[in-house]
Amino acid sequence: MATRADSRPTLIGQSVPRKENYALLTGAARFVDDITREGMLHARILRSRTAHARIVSVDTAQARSLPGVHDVITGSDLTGRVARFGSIPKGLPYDDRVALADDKVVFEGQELAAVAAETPHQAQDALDAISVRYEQLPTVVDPERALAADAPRIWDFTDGNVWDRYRLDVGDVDAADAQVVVRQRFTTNRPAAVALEPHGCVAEFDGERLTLYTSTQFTHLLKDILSSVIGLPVSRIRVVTPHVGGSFGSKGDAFPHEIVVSLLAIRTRRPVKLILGRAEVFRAVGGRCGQVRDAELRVAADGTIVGYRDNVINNSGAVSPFGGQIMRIGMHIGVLPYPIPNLALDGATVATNTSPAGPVRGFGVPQTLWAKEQLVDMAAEELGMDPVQLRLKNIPTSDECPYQTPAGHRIDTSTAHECLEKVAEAIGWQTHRRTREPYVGVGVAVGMKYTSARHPSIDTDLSTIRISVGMDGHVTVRSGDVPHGQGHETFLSQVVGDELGVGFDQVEVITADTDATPFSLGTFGSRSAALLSTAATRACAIVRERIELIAGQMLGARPDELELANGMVSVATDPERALPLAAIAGTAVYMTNSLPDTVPAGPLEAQATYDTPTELERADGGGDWAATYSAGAHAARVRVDPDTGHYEILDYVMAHDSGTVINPLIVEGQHHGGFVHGFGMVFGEDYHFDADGHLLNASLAHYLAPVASDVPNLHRSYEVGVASTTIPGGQKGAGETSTAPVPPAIGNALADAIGVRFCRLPITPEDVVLALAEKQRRGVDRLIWPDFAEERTQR
Amino acid sequence: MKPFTFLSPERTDDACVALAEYGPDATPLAGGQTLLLNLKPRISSHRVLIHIGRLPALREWRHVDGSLQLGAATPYSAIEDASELPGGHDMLREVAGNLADRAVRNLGTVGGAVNAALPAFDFPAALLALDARLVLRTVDRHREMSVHEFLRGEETTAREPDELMETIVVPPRDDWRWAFEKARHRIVDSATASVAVAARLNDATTLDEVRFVVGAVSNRPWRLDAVESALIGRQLDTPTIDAAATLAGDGVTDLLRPSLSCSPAYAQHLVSALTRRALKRINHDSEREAR
Repeated sequence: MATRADSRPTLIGQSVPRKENYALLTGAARFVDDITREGMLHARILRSRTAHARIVSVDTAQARSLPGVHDVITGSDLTGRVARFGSIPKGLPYDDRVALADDKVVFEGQELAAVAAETPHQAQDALDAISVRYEQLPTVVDPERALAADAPRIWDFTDGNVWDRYRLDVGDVDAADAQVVVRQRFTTNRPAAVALEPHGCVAEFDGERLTLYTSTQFTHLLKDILSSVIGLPVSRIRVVTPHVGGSFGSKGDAFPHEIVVSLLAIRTRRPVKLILGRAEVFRAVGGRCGQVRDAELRVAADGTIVGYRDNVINNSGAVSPFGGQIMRIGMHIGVLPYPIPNLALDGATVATNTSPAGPVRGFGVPQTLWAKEQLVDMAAEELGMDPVQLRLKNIPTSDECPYQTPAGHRIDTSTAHECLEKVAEAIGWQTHRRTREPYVGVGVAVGMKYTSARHPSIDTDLSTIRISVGMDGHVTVRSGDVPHGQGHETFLSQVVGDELGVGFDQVEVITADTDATPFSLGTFGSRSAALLSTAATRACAIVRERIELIAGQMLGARPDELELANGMVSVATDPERALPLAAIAGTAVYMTNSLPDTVPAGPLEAQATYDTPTELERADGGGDWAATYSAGAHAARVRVDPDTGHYEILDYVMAHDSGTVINPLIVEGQHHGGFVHGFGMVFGEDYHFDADGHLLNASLAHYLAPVASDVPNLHRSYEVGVASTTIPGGQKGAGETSTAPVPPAIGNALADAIGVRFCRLPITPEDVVLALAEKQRRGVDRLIWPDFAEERTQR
Repeated sequence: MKPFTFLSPERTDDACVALAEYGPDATPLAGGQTLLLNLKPRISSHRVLIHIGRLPALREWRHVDGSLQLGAATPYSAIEDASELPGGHDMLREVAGNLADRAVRNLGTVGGAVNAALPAFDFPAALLALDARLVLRTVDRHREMSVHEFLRGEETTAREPDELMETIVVPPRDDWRWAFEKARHRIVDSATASVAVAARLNDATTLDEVRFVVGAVSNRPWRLDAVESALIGRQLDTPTIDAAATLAGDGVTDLLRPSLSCSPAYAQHLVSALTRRALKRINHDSEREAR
C-alpha cells in the first residue's frame, strides 16, 4: 500500500455528497426499463396459478396465432436443450431452477411459458390465450409440516423436504453451570426486499453475441451461469447492469426470466424486453427466509452467558436461492458478539410450496438476533439483572480485542461494547428504567454482521479494480461489482483521489459491464467498501509507482521525493519542479524512448484483486468465514396505544462500528435504510399464504411495508468505530449492520412497556390488542405471545 | 389493461345517453382511483369507459336551503380544501382530508367512493351517518335513495347499468355534532374499522337524535340500532359511553364480513375503542360549547 509522506487533507473520511445523486434525483439515471432498441419485442411470462402440480399440457396454439406475436415458448420446448440451474449460488448439487417448468410446478408464480410480441399488451393477450392443464399435487406450506415423514414431497433429490442441515457443537450446553435457563419458541416472517425497481432485462443477439442488460447484483457471475444454462460460450455473452433501483439481496441470483429473455432474443433475432410486475416480483423472486426456532440461553449467577442452544427450521421456499447458507451464516454469526463457550446449533433448511426465500439485507442474522437478544432480556429479568449490564458483562471491550470466539470467529477489532454504552446513555436508559410510565418502555439489542464472507458455496471472496490514467490526467476506475445504492462511484473517487492525488471530479467510475470491467463477484454481504477500496488502493499503488519512476526521471528526483496532489507530480521540497499527471500519461505512450529503463511502455494502467483472508466453514461447522465484523447497538423507546394496538417509537438511537468510514454520509444513509428493513419485519411486512400456497398479498396495497410516515426520526445515529486490522484500509461493512438489532430492540421495549413478550414477527397492532386482552383475562403480569402450543392445537 | 372505447361527453345528458346506449358494457369513469387499479392488471375490463370526471355539473358542490349538495364527481380534495362546513357537514371535510394520500384525494371522487362499494371506504359510512340521499338519473327518469338502500353489499350497488349517480344530498345538520374515528395500519391504508356518529343534543348535554354507524368491518356500513337506543335521551357520561362501546363491539358480531382482513376479536375491540373515542369527542365538543 502506498504511503504518503505529506499530511494534506484527504477525501477519505469526508461526507462528500454522492456523485450518483444528480442522475437519480433528476430522472437522468438509466434503468433497464429506460433501454429501448429498434425493433424491440416485449415479453411476458405465464406463471403457475397453483403451488404444486404436475403439468399435463400447455396449449399455445391460439396464442401463436394472435396479432403481433413473434414467439411462444414453453417448458417442453426447452427440455434437454436448456440446462436446469441453481446449484452455483446454493453450493449444493441441486439444480432446482428451470427457465420454464416442463414437468411440474412447485410454487405459485413459477414460470411456465413465455411470449414475445410487438407490444406488452399483445404479449399479455397471448398469455391470456394459453391454457394450462394441471394435475394438482398436495401442497406443503408450513415449514414444520414439511419435515414430517408423511409430508408431501416437493423434490426427489432432497432428503425428504430438507435441502441442507447445519450443526455446530461447542463444549456442552447442558453441562454448563447456569443459574438461569430461558427457553422459548420464536418465529420470523417472510418479508420481501421491496426494491423500488422491479426485476427486468433487455436482451439482444446479433447472430454471434448475446448482450443482456439486467438489474442484478452479480453481473460477471451471471454471465458464467447464463453460459452454462443456454450453452452459448462465455466469450459470446456480454452482461451489462445499468442503474439499479434497489435490490437489498433480491437481485443476487440468476433468474428464470433472464434466461427466458435471452432465449427469446436468440430465437427471434430481435431485441426483447421484459419488466416484471410487482406481483411477479413478490411471487417469483420471493423474500427473506422465515424461521421457526426453539432457542435456549443459559446464564450463570453472575450474568455470564454460558450456553446457547438453537434448533432452527429455515423455510427457503420451493426453489432455494441460497440453499442452507442463510441458515448457516445466520446461526453462526448470529451468536455474536458474545463469545459463548457452549453452543448447540442445529438447523434444517426445508422446501415448502411457497415463493423462493433467499437473501435479504442482513442475510440470516436478523432471524437469529430476534430470538437471542430477547432471550438475553428474559434471562436478565429472571436473574434480576439490568439487561444492558448483562450484555456489557458478556461483550469484550475494544481493549480486549482481538479475540476468538469458541465458534471460531476472529474478531480483529470491535466496539460492540462501547456502542451499547453509547445508546444506553443516549436514550436515557437509567432514567427510563426507573421512572415507569404506563404503556411506555425501553429496550436494547446488539448484533454483529459479517463484512464479506467466504460463502460455503464458492471458495472465493474477491473483487478486482482496474485503474487507468488518461491523457487528460483523469483517472478511470473499472469495477466489475454492481453499485445499487452503496455509492461505489463516490467512495471509489474518494479512495482513488487520495491515492493518486487527483480531485474527486477527476475520477470516473465504470461498473458492471463484462466487456468493460474485470471479474468481480458482485455486490452483497456488506463487502463493497472493504473489498473495492482495498483492490483500488492496490491498483493505484502499482500505477503510482510507475508515475513516480517516470516523473522522477523527468524531474531529476528520486521517487520517494515526489508528491502527488491536485493532478500534479511535484518534488516535495521544491514544488516548482512539477509535472501534470497528463504529461506522465502522455510520456508513457507517446514518448516511449524517454521512459526509464525500468518502466515498460504503455498506458498508465493497473489491475489488482483483493481476495479476503477468510476461511471456508470448518468440518465441525465453525470457523472464521468473514473478513471482519461490524457491530451495532440499538435502543428503542416505545409507547403502546391500547385502543388500537399501534406502537409509536418515541425515540430510537443507533450506534455502529463500521470501521474506518470513507464517507460518513453514505454510511449513515445505509444505517437508515438498514433500519427500515429491520423495522419492516416488526411493523407488518410478511407474505400471507393460504393452505394451498396462494400468496394473498402480492401487491403494495396489501403488503404492509412501512411508508415514510411510519419511520421514526433516525437522526440519533452514532458512529463509534474502530479500524479493522484485517482490511488494509480499516473498513467494515455498513449496509446490513443496522437491520438485525431492530426487531429485538423493539420487542424488548414492548415487553418493558406492557409485559408482553412477542415471539412472532411481525408484531401487528392486532397482536398487541389481543395479547393485552389475554394478559388481562389471565390476570398475569407477564405474557408470552402468541401461545404457540394453543395455535398448534387449533391447527 | 384491455383496449376500450373512451367516451368523454361534455354534458351530463350526453353521459346518460351513452350509458343508455352501452348499458352493461360501459362503466362511468370518475377519478379512476378504484377502477383504474382494476383495469390495469385486467382484474376487470369494460368495452366502454364514459368519462364523467370533468363534467362541470357533477363537480359542483353547494349549500341549498341548509342541505349540502355534492356533485358525484366532486374530488375529495375540493371538500378537504373548503373552509369549515356547518354543523354535522363538517364530518365530510375531515373524512375527505384524512384518507389515502393527496394524489389520490385530488382524483378520487365522493360518488366514486360510494359506487365502488368497498367496505373499507370512509365516505359511505360518513354519508350514512349524515342520512344522505343519493340521486341517480337516466335519460328519462331519476330516483333517489338512502345510502343503505344503495349499498347492497361488498362491491354491489342498486345502480342500474343505465343510471348515473348525479348528486349526493346531505340534509341540513346545522346543530348536529359529529365524530368520525378510524383505525388503519398505515396512513395510506383504508380503515380496518371505523365509527361515524352524528348527534343532536337538545340542551347541549342530552342526546336527542343520533345516528351511529360502523364501517369497514361489515360488507357495507351499518347503523347500530342498539347503540342508538342506548344513547338517546342520555347524557354522554362515562357509564353511558362505556355501555355504548360495549354494545357496539357486541353489535358487530353478526355483521363482520367474511373478507375481513383481521380477526373478529380485533375488529370488535376496535369498534368498541373507536366508539369510546367518538362519543368522548362529541361530549368534549358539546362541553366546550357549553362553556
